[in-house]
Amino acid sequence: MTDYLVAMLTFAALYGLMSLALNLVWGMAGMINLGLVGFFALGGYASALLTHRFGLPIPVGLAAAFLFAGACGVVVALVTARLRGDYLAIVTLGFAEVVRIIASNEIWLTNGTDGISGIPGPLRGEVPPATFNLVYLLIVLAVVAIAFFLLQNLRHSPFGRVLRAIRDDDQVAAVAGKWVIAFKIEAFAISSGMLGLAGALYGHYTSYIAPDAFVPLVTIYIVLALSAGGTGSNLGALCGALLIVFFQEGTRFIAAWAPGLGAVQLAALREIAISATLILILRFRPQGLLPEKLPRLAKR
Amino acid sequence: MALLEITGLRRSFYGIAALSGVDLAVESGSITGLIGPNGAGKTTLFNCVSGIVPPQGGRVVFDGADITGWRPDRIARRGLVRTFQIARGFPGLTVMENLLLYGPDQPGERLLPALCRLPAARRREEELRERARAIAARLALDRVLDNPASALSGGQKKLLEIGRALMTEPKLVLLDEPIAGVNPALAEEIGAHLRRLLADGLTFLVIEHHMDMIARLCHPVIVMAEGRTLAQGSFAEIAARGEVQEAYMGRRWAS
Ligand SMILES: Nc1ncnc2c1ncn2[C@@H]1O[C@H](COP(=O)(O)OP(=O)(O)OP(=O)(O)O)[C@@H](O)[C@H]1O
Ligand SMILES: [Mg+2]
Repeated sequence: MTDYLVAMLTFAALYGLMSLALNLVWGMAGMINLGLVGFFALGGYASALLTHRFGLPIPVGLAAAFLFAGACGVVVALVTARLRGDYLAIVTLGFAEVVRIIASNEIWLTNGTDGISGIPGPLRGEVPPATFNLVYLLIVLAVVAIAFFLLQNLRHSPFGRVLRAIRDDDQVAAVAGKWVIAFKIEAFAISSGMLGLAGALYGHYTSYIAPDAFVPLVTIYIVLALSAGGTGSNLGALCGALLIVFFQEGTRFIAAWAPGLGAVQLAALREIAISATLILILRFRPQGLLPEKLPRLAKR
Repeated sequence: MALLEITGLRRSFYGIAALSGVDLAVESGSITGLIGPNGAGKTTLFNCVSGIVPPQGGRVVFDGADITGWRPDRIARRGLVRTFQIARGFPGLTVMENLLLYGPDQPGERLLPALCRLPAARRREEELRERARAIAARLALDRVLDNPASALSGGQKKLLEIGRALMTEPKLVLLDEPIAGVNPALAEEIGAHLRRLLADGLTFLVIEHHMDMIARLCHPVIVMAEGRTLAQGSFAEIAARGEVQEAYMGRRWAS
């Protein structure tokens, strides 16, 4: 049971990291990115290939994943610079699918749909699996804590204020003297880099990545996590991620009190339970569980 | 040499000319009025000068630099700022944040200083906050500083437009109907305030339909109609001219 809990928390932390990344680009800067899983995959493959095939140390793989996904984020941001709303959503969604299809077909690089197995993990094989899982959880939690701390700094800085202004009206932000496109690219790049880092951490944890782990549903879960937690709030992003994983896992136990249902019916029942909860949250708390708070600065 | 010099400025939308060769100059140290019937192209002129809408021909020279086709943020940082006729802004930010956003030279707007909370950013923030409080007090916005801008009344939103423009420490401010929807007493105060700022060395180009405000505040007054400048002179001269009265015919003066 502890093993199960540790694994669940690790996945929740990875979801949290992605949810924080989405909060930067969507919650703060107002750019919807539905290609989250694409950047996640880029980071996963970058680190897996460098450490598995070229034998580089894991920290190098993680750093490379961040930089590579971030650089791809710059390219996507430049290509979509003039797009907003629905159009940006569609293009980024398409981008993630392109990444997944390339990963399925460029067998020489990615081993196609068979995926890459045997990705190294820190201390894997040297300590018992339970210890490995615990150590890995601590590593992921540390990464999330650092990301949270830095993003909180951003959120409360003049930089964060400019992003929130761009979210409201990028033309007026330009009149205010802000080079809007540069801010958008910076936000997009950091967010993509964080997603890449999450992908790399995922690969080193499970030791195996394949294209079918990078389906759009993952993106949808992250968007739901942030919406339920509170768009614009970093704490909300983490809280939403925890909630989503809790529900995904918790609903597994439906089987215990719903005997006589087939596996397919049970799976459908889980999806229904998750959806119903989210609909209820968004109906009764549209701003999310922990909504964005405005700063009070009038008093000196 | 004039602070702002516009020559032959053109812009059309869907084949219909909104600006068909505007020539206009704003002298440093003036409150220049810009009047003209609805649809004359006044707001479009502001959009082209401030870089929001790229002009299709002509030249804009501001403070000795040819700024034609520049990005709006570069124009703003050079000291030319404009307000919007229908108050726009950042509804999701507080009034205070709306003001602070317009503050220039904030190192905290760069990524690294923001990530590691540079002390220089905090000091600048304090200065800007002091400035914002002073401006808010003069525009009667000090009570609502911590409210979201979306919660302001229509008139307060217009005042916030002016306050934000002042935060940039500009040389030239383009005001698009600053007192439309503002109560007479406060409109009077805004007029007095503009005059004080004029004494401090600012220059204004003001679009307004309230003729009494134009008469009392602006010199010279420029008349636009159908995408062109029609006449220029003191308010009394302008008011006496037949073609100006004709251009305005059929519309109420106070909107
Ligand atoms: N973005 C745009 N797209 C299409 N047409 C436009 C656009 N902006 C302005 N126009 C047109 O250009 C003409 C001039 O409009 P403008 O807003 O400059 O008038 P104005 O002088 O400011 O009038 P008002 O006193 O009513 O504010 C109008 O016919 C308007 O419909
Ligand atoms: Mg107008």
